[in-house]
Amino acid sequence: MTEPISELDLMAQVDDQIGSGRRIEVGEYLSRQSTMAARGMADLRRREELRQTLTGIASSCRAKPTMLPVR
Amino acid sequence: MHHLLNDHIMPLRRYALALTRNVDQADDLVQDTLTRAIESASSWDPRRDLRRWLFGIMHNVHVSVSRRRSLETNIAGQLTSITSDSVPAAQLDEVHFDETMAALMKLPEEQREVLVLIGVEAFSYKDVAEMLGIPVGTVMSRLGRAREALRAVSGREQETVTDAAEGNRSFLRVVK
Repeated sequence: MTEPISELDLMAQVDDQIGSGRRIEVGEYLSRQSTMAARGMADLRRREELRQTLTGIASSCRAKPTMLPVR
Repeated sequence: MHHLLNDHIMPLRRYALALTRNVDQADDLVQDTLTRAIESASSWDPRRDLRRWLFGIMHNVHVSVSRRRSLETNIAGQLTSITSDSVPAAQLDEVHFDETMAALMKLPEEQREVLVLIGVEAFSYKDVAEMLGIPVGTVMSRLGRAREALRAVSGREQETVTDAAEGNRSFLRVVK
């Protein structure tokens, strides 16, 4: 018998921090639960949006040049 | 060690911006982190993950700077006569923000840092727990609350996103 899919499993699936066996079980669950599948996809999309936005700001509005300390 | 540090400046800047929400303070935080890293280079074991080590330093530097800053703010608050010449902080320009970024910036710091370390910098739950000195369970509950808050904010655009997904599934790609 497999463990019921938990919120922690769904979170680990989004973050790609899930074991391969469990991944298959979660995938199976998501194929039947379209609302939860859509929620996970939206979480992934937001992950990528944040990464792009933060990278954009980090590369554009630098107040001072970063200097590696000299020894 | 200098050439090794160069590769990590951009990720450190991203994290610093998320932590401080302020361009000048983020610059200072990156600078202080690199200085601290160079000073304590001898304590770094080359077999260990340099990126993880640097982010851990940034977290610690940020905690001590914030502590000092809040102490200074308290003192300044008591000396009302000198508050008039306070310099306006270089807050992040919200023009750059989409709905998700705006929601991130409104999160409490403890949720913001966990979401950025895991969602943007792709650290493992375990690494983040060690970096922040908190249990893995706490990392996951903070992450869960952060995601919940972001979902609530972008709930309104959800329908359009689902519609778009029918024709274009490219956003489903997992980006590492």
